[in-house]
Amino acid sequence: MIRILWSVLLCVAAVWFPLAVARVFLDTPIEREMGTVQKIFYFHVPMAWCMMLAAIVSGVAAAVQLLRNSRRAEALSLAAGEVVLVTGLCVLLTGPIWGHATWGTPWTWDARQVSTALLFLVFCAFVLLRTQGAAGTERLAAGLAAFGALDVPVIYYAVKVWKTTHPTTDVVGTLPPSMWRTLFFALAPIAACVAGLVAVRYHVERAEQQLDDLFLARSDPASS
Amino acid sequence: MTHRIVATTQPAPPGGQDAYEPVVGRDLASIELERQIEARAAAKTASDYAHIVWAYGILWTVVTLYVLYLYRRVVRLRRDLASLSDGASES
Amino acid sequence: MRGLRQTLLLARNDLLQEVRHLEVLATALFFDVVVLALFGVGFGTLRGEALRASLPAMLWLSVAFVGSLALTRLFEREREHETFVALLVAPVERLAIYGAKALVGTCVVVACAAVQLAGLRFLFPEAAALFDRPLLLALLVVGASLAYVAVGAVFASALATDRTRGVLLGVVLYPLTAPVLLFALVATRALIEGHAKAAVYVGQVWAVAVLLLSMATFVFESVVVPIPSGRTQRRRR
Repeated sequence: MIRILWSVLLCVAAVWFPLAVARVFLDTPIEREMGTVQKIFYFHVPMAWCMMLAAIVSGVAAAVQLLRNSRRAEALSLAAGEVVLVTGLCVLLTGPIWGHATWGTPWTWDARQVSTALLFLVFCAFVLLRTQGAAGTERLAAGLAAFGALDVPVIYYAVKVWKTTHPTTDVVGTLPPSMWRTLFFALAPIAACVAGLVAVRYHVERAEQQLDDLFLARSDPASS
Repeated sequence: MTHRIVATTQPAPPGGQDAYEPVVGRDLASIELERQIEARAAAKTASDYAHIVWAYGILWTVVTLYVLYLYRRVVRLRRDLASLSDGASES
Repeated sequence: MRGLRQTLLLARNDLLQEVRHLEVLATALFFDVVVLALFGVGFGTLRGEALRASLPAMLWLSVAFVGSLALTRLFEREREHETFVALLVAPVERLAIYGAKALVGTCVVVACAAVQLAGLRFLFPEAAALFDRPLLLALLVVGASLAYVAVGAVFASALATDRTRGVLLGVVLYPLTAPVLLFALVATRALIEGHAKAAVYVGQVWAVAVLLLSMATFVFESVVVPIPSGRTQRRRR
């Protein structure tokens, strides 16, 4: 089932992504103030949305793992957590490139930039704990992911609350229809790709968990 | 639309040889200004494209690296599975 | 109600121990004074706008370090005498253990922040603007310290179980508590500038504190108490 799901999602992403690129560059008007460089927006913003969604999924799954000792939730939390790193890296690298072209400086220490970097750091810590931590750190890492997901509303409200150079969260509503339609057209393949990657990683993690259990049962039959 | 570019600041030579017609409404200063604006626009577009290439290149590289990482994990998983089934068949 | 009584009882016991031996407070205050001396030497020549912009960072940077120092020692007694498991199986609410530790940690951090504030006021005349609204300042310091300790105490308790010693500071604590410190930084800047909305910023700090405290009480038991059926070993991958 999971295999079919991620195959479909990744196929959809592979077919849709070139169409989205064509639409962004050929069928969408150039923004008057920023010029051609604004085209980064159509992939930077969906990546940021996917990062926040993946962080919430990871945090909620971690909470379920803590409360119910669910190993499925543990696998989902880790899968979504790793995808936060991938999307977060994309956001944190494409953002400064866009900023360099429009603001003249790649990093302005504004609230949203800092809190996005913090979310990325929290999930770096989570993945580090999961991969490098001793046996028994799974629960500590899950606690970390649950707290990390709390950072998402902070990022959302940071722009509204603090003085910032970053566009506000209402910017999508103020775009002309041709631009926001393209934004959602570009969101679909990115979301499909991100969901597909989470599903693949979940599948691999579940297989590894089962393999771990088999190894443990073989080395110590009494524990099984 | 084509124009003959002339230096309107210089007077026409006397005697009528090498006569030329001055273009009305197009002076050198405005043409230079136009060229400057075009050059700036071209530089901005070139810079924009450079930024876009970097941004898209990074996106693709990061995602590709993660896919490679996942592929390596799957390869290792298969190897572990093979060693487990080898061990099981030996015992 | 019973949980609250137990929390206060445990906190009173810990505070009494602390007052008797000054284990955490002495280390934290000593660190505070050293940091103040460094600030005095390093930023003594700053004046005006530059100094006003630096003061919030000085305060919350030292609180961050003092806080982590206090948090690592919060469960030190239990870890040294290996009594944490005994505490967990004692007939007290587990949340009361967390509440007591968070309360003690907050008291220590607030005390250190108070010393830091007094030191900054003594060293830099510009810091006087902070004390123009003392109630707001007190609320800010208590709220931010509570939020910081609320997160930290959960992960500090994991230290007491001796399986993850050393990972707390660098990896876990700072990224998680940085949003609290950022909110506190903005509120402190508003207080120094005499901003009309300073009270709103302090309110935001308290909102974050309540949010983190709720999350901490929600996950504390699950993070700290090992589930009997849970795995205790993992194959090295």
